Amino acid sequence: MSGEQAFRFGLHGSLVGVLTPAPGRGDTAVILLNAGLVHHAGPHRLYVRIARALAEAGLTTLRFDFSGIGDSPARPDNLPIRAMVVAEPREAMDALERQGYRRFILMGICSGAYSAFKTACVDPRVAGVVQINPQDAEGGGEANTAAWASRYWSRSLFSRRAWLNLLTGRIDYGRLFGTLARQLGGGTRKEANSTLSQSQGELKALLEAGHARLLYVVSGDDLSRDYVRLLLDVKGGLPPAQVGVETLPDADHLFTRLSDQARLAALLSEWSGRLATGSRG
Amino acid sequence: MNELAGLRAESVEPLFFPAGKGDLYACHHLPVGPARGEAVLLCAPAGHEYSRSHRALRQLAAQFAKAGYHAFRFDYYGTGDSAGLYEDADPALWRDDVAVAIELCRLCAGVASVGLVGARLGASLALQAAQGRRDVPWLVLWSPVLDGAGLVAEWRAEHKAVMQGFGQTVGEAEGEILGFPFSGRMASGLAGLDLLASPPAGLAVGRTLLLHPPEEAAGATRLAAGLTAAAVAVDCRAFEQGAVWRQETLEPIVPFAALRGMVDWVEGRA
Repeated sequence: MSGEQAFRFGLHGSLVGVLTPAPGRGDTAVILLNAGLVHHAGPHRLYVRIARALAEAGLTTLRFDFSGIGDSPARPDNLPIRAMVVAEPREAMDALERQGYRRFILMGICSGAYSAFKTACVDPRVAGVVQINPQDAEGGGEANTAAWASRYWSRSLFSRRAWLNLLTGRIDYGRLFGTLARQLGGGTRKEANSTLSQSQGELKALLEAGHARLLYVVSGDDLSRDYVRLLLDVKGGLPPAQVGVETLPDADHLFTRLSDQARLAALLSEWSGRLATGSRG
Repeated sequence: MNELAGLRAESVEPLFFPAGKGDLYACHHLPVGPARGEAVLLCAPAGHEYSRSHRALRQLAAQFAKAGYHAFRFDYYGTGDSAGLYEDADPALWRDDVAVAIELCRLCAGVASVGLVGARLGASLALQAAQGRRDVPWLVLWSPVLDGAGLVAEWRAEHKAVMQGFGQTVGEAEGEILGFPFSGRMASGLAGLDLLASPPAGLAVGRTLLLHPPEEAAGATRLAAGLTAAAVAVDCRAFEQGAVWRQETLEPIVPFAALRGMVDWVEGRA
């Protein structure tokens, strides 16, 4: 892919990003959000691969670093991090809007998924949200504890590998026993339900606002698979036309296998392409 | 308030520049305060070690900029944001990329000399790229890869352990290592890397800081002897902490004391 452009943007002109322009562009652009502290090339260079695949599918794509991550210096205004991870995708949209783009698909792995969702909740320019291996980032992580418990009781109990890991010491004993202790205590379930209810409320509100479609992509071996199942277990259900869930059964949290990277890039290109052209597929 | 007013903001300029097979991505960390008449080019490790080291090298560049240097980081062909596919690259191509990046530093910073800091394979490439040049006054070699075949064996062992942790079986000679393709040309390129058997010649580097983990003291000592024989002053030191290329990608620790020590050495303070 030639013609990629490096540039700075944002309120303070300090956010660093790389734009992969699509030939014959439309009015929709994709923005890739940092996976934790991994810089904008993504884990295993995965964001570069995704950006170039999306551009070939006709979607201009920006990958950038939040302030203090990767190539972007820290913000000078001490904005709290939960506000920053919403403000800076909006600054990215502002920058792309000046180039003629009107609708945006936000996507990210892990914490990038959280940022994409939270931004969509407050900005109607977001037409699509792809949350890849999202995890609970609210409260004290009680929903993650519930997801671990769900994983232990529903999957690990019947998994030869899980038992092998247990017997050979290749597991996090602290997390295992902590989860079980909190389960027996009963307190975490109530807190987890509260956290999940809050996230479910935001999800329902976003869907009712009607401007965005959502895709959850989860790895078969990842905690997010359990978390998303709990999150989407909403009384009365969610409108299936607006929410999709895709599972990559053999993948790990950061898509180490090249075959999983290729599957993910193809999946995102197809979904985003359909959304950009207005096709429900 | 006056103290805050005295603080100068860090400034990073991202850019692409042309090289042999395609455009390469770089970040220019502008000097904070009066600029020195010398630039610094950082040469990153390769493969999965690149991601793990990125945060530390970015902070090292910031430390050099704070000390008044024009500091540059860049991505080799097929790595990071640069053009191309990883499987189409090899160490020889990357060594040429280092040479082009040195020219970029000179041009952008308006300086005549460029010091090189390399980590792991980046250190080996920096040492090779310095051969025959008179514009590289010093080198910082942070755990250079002395033996490419040994690096491949280490990478394959880690790949096997990680993938088995994911419950996957791993072949002996897989075409991928920890998230990156591993091509035949990369394998043969690394197999040909042996800094002890073929020490670099034609070096006009004034001084070199050679940092090595304690378990690699013997190899580092042999390399230091080879460099000394080539009239390069070598400061050979072991480091206990700071092997950032071995840490979890999602939990990158920045060894600030080690980074500060490198800047101090370049400035002649350590």
